[in-house]
Amino acid sequence: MHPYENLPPYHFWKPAVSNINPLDIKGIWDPKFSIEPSDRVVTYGSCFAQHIGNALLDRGYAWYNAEPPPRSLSAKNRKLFNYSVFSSRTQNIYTTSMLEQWVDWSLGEKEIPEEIWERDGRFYDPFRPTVEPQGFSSASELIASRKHTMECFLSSIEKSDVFVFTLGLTERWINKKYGFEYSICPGTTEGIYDESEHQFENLDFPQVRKSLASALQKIKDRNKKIKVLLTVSPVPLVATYENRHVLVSTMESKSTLRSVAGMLAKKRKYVDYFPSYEIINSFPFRGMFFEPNLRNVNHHGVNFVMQEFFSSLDPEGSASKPTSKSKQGQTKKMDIVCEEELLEAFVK
Amino acid sequence: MKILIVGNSHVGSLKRAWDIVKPDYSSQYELHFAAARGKSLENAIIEDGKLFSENPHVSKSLEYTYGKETVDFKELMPDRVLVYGCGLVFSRFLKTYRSFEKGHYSEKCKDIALYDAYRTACGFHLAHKIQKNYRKSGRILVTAPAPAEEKLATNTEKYIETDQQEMEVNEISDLVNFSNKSFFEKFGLRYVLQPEETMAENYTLTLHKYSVGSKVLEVGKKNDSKIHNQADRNHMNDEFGKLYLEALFSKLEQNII
Repeated sequence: MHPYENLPPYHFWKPAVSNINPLDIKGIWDPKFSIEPSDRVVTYGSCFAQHIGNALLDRGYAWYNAEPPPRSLSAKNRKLFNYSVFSSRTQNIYTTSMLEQWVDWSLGEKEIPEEIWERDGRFYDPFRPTVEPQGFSSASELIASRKHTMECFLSSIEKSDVFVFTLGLTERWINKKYGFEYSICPGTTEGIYDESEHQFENLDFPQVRKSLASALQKIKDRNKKIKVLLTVSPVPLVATYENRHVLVSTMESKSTLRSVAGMLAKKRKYVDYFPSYEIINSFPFRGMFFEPNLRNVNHHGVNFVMQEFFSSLDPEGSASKPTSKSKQGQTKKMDIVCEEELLEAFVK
Repeated sequence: MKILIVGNSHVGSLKRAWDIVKPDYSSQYELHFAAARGKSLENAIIEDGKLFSENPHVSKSLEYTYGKETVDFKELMPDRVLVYGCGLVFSRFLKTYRSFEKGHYSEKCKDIALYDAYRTACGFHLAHKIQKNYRKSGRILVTAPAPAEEKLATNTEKYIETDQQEMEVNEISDLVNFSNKSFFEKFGLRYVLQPEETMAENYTLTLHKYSVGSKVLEVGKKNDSKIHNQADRNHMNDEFGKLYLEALFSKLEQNII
């Protein structure tokens, strides 16, 4: 008699992985809490979080859009103006420290920096540089828009039942003097890079853990009933500023994020981890869920992940049928807004 | 003054009304109509100052309503062109504009949302194409009648107002002026709202009585002038057409449009 004797098959590699078709690998997630179609879910984080929001909407779940677009704005223009991409117009929040920054600003715990970028008479938000195509018409318009998004972000925390956050990166750029974080390296999309002002940092495990734990605690303090679902983006880094190969940076970064997500999910009752990262990225799936560039996740991958998500939440399948008229809930790459990809323009 | 009215089935009420009021106004106004049912003018071609269609059914409708298969603006030289119907209801502007109060939107985003509101209206493209292709055609006016209130039953005076946005008369006229300055004039167009007396209390719907007995546009087909189905709330009758034309002439006399 030993402890492994009576474990179910999914504990063992051979029956659970090597002896079966990878598409038959099931039961990879045992949800800690239920998410009902009527639960209000908000989604933030890295690009991959957008797939979760889209899939929730498509299955009739109550994805909460705290900052809706004006009436009549077409689907194409909604994307262009970053409406309905995340639950408010934060754009991608790639790092856990950026999440904490957004939480602190929205709660009024820290002052929002006054920095604004200007080019050719248009104004750009350093914390969401491409939120408005071709920038804002004035600094005051930008500030009013940012203030409104901040209010909507806070409202989404206060009014939601489930806060979904996808961890994306550990590499970040901060302002040397004031310590605040930019959403992307200044100068790559808008703004001007200045070595004396801007500083690169790669967050390590304790820093990621501390910032995410702190952000989640503040969110929980604001909304006692909220539950948090963490995921790690399987999408590799577009570029690394560490002096090493991007593949090594990707693996280190994702491993750090994955460990922190797992640790917080283990230690906090209200936090769960959904293993979309493992489904897309682990070798038994042989990279089949990536586009030919081995970076973007193809729609088969997204559908497979979301099928696992919904079938785990609702094994009877009574509430998780795709309702989309188009292609049964399939998500295309073009549906995703990912400003980090703009770094690709700098490949020599 | 020469006025060319271009549009779809809605033009029927104005055309029939002109036959009624013509004796009173023919010394001042010369009206011409060019219409085809539904969205069929969506693909009308406007080039070298001429409006025509490659679709033989549409060509026939134009011939029946205008007298020729092609509207030659250079030959007609209208002082005003009124694009009527074809999805040009004011509620598209109104509902979009009102949604701006629910959040903070950049000016550019608002402009694009308003454009998107009318992008699917075939009359908007038609009017804009006329404006771009033939600038000498005089001012381009656009409008469509608001849908009528829905009557609950024939033996009661209660009505269902499907559009709940209530407003005052000053508010609606201010909004129309604002819509012209902020949106329509950017495309060289001017919105002309239907007469106040035809509008229901909330100024976003037409009084039920003006949709009763509305008739199908005459284009030389079997169902010409047939009375629309009772459930039809979109088309207006000849009485409405008469009031519309009288209000239009009054505005023209006052140089408002």
